[in-house]
Amino acid sequence: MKSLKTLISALKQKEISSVELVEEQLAQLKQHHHLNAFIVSDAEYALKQAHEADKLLQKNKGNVLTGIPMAHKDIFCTPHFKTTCGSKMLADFQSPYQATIVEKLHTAGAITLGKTNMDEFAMGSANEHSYFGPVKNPWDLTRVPGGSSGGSAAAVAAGLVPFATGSDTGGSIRQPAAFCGISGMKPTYGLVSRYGMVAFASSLDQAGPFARSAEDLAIVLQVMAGFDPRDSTSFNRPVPNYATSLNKPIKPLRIGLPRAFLSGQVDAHVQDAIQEAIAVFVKAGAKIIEIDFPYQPYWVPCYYVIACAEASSNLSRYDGLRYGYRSKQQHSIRELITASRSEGFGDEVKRRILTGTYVLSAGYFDAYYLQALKIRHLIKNEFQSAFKQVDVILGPTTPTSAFKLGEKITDRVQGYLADVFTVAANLAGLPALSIPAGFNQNLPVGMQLIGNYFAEDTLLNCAHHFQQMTDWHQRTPNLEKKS
Amino acid sequence: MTITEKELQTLSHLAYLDCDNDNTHALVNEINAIIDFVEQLKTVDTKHVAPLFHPIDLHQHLRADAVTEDDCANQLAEIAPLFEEGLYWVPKVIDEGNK
Repeated sequence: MKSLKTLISALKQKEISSVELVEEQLAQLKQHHHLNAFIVSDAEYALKQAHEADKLLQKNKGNVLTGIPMAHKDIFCTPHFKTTCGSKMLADFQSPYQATIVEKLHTAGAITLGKTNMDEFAMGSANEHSYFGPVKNPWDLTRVPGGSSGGSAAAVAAGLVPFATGSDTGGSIRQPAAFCGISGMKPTYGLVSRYGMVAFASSLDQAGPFARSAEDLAIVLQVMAGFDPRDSTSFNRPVPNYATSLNKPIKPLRIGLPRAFLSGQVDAHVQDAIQEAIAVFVKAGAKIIEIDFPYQPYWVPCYYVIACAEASSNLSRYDGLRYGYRSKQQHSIRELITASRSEGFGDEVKRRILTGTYVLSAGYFDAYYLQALKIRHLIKNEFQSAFKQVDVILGPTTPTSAFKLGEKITDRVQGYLADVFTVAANLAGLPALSIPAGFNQNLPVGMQLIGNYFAEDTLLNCAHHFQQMTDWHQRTPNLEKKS
Repeated sequence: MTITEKELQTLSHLAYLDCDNDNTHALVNEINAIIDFVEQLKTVDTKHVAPLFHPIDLHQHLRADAVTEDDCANQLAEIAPLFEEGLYWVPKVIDEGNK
């Protein structure tokens, strides 16, 4: 599998045409259809764009991504494809407008092959909660790819596309990136526009890229990032050149290692891989500083209270009246709305709406929701204190490698703990990425790096250096045997 | 803190969801497992801590009061469940709300 950077160069040098590249990727997509990574794709649409791209490339008039195939998580509104968000509720929803990042990537020349599978309304850590069925992990078809952006992660890992988009509310880019052995980044809250991204929990949601390396993430993030007046949470500040920061020396780098991140709750093989990764950074001249996060045991419960509360509010818009699924039970307005929502939403979404309704209801608001918001403040403060001592925080992305399909579907709380190391970056709004740092029994292990606000350049720089010294990111699943 | 099946009915009424089916007992147990899990938040002393509604300090930016989009009424009509003769059609429900 070639990197995005290599493919861009091959197209510009006319070593390959966009039509050839798109045809090759479409063939891969067809061959590995059993992964269920895509909800929809359109070969004719993609090839038409590839022909247009080749005309531009012939005249040397291409943009940065001209002729490059890619995929969007089905949470982003697109002009050509329906936007289902993995739900029966939006199974026939054709958005009248497009997401800013869809527009930006299209303007940069990228060709959308299709929309990728995901947990319904981005609620899940295994991609088992999709109306369109579960996604399989390309490294082991009996295991989950992670979630909620499992389709995008599986598509990149299987080589169906060189990069894809995702969204991350509590780890939904980093956790599937870790499980699928690829690189994925959740940028700082406000760096990438969320206009046209279906809302789950608005104070936590952020869009970001999946790719095969930090170098490729830098290329895609450069296109995605930047102020958008249509997103009221978008930050108006200049976007640095991520490519030029990749090769800066990392020598004075101070890496924070949270003691609790390598404790008994983390599988031994994950701990070993992270220890080896630390040794790589030390060899490169980085200084390791052990740090503590006293509120770490509260990260996940705090996240679930806030995420469910915001979800119950955001998803109240689905009433079966203006758009989306409409039930045939129509005897009264309440019955129509209730039946539309009950038939249109899956079980996990309903559970979270009910939990959110509970924590926001009279008598419980202060005890749960307000308390969670106060603890969120304490969590943000502990990260701010940490970043006075260190430049980045390193640890495992997840406590285990990819688990079996169905393994955690019966114990919800155990499933939620798959996000134990990722949710804090969302609560505090910090940037974080996951890159492959080892393997255990042919399953990837992910390493997470968390940075200070708008320090995406530092994170990409660290990750790139690590990938110059290791080859974990170059490993690919042997799909031939399993197809 | 745990909820009962009756309290679940109240919650589902508030959320416009129908949970009155064979799975009610299982759903109560699942919601209670989540509530038990988040219960530990109550042990944290937050007496002098302000709630954090938004992760980063952000001043709401305001746009100029200008038209930036074309009329998209036709596009919206296309995605409505039922749109005919320039009207959004809904079932006759408004005067039967108390049923």
